[in-house]
Amino acid sequence: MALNGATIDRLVLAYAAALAKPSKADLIALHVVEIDWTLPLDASVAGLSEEAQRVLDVAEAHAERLGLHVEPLLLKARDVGAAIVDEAAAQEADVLVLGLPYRTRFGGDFVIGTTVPYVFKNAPCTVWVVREPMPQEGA
Amino acid sequence: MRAVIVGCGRVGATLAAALDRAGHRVLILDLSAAAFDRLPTTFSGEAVRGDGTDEDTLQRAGAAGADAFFALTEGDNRNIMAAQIARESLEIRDVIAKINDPVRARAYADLGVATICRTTILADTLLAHIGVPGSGDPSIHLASEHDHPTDPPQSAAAASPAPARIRILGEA
Amino acid sequence: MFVIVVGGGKVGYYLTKELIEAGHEVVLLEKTRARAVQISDEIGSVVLARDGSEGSALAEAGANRADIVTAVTGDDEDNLVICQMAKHHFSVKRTIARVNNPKNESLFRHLGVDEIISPTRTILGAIEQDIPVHELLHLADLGGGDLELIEAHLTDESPAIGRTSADLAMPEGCTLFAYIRDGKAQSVRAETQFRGGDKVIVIGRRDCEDALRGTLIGEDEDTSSL
Repeated sequence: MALNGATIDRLVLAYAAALAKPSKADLIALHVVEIDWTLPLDASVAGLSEEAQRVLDVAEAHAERLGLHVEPLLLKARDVGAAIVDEAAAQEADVLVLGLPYRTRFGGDFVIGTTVPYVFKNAPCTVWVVREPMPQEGA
Repeated sequence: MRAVIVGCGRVGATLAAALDRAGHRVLILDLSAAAFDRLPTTFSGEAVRGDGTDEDTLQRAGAAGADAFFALTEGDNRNIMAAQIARESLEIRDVIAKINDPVRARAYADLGVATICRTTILADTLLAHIGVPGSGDPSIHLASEHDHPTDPPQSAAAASPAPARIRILGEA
Repeated sequence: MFVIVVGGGKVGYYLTKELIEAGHEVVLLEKTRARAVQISDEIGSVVLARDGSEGSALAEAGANRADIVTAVTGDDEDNLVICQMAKHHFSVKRTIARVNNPKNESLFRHLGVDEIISPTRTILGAIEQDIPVHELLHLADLGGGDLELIEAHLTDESPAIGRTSADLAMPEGCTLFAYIRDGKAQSVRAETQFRGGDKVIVIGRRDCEDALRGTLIGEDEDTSSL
């Protein structure tokens, strides 16, 4: 499962847990930090790694409450989608679970971003996307 | 005076017609002969179909030694290149390139090419119309005084009081 | 090394691939989105769908830390602007431009592009090597482009035949460097006498070619009619 540090992570984890529990499958919590080209890929960016570690720590703690063990994995890459796909292939994953926040752009069109379509197109395994519920009117 | 204009779009054609009317010698180039339809029938200058970023074409058209050179095509980079050929190879001193990207317009003024940026001019004019302060950029970025274009760009402070190298057209 | 390649045509594509294989860090800027996507599908996430002549695109590509920026688009004006922006706006140490119109070579050099690759010139050179004309052959650029290495084929009609190198009135700034006779390279001495069939290697200024032709090859009937 791929986590982005937003509230959607809880949903992703819940669905991944439900999927993994009956078959006692291994769960890997993957978080990718995107490094732009102004920095070398191995640069240590102040705050970024700590923040990324926190995303994984939160997921681990949450999984523990659900009675599950997850293996945390932190990657740095130029492109999140490509990193997720490459890692799924390297780990020979059976299922990838990703979250998709419900966002709209000016004018109200739904924004799917670039990562989810990339993973859909290129992932070697089954892909589950958990879309965040639409926000309530007037909320 | 003798003026060379590269690009016979709306701006190029308007400028060419005005200079021609004022009694100046105008040479205008465009890749497309159809572009010359924009010139008035009274235009008495010279219109040459050809690539204004090609030194040979400019030489053959007789652009060398002109008093002023305006690069006004639709492509920022084509204008930059035409302007630099005019400065370096045709030895024309008053050279202005139209550059619509404000960042490039400022950068090339530092490199010795005077630039005019439609984007800032339009935005500033509209802002002034409703009484809101604009970018404060001059409508024409004068070229910084440089002996050699490969010198490092001067600081903004050093570049601002650059002496006017652009004559007011019509006074020549 | 960190290299920014601008232009995802055939040259940019293969250049990027080879650089990655050689272990360099590379980012490719290609302004046509469809082409950018196609390349990144093939060689990975090293492609930005941006116009490299825009300052903001070079900044995003990491021009602040690039060792080399190479502009290999099909348009000379774009290649010039890319290199100038890289050099003067981002202080990139080395800029390399592809030049399609050979006439632009000296302009690019004068305007601060460090290295110039001219496919037209290269092919022209290869063709000229094959044609046994009584001409000067351009062998290589030297000293930043003002000087060049030239080869002159002397025929029996050449005005230099039978004279010693000391007798030849060489144009200013040009020097006889060596000559090849019977397949052997020899250095030119003051008393060296030239014969038909000699190939003389000269280092000279580019603008001295006409004077050199007069001294070493003689007037050509075809060109005198111009």
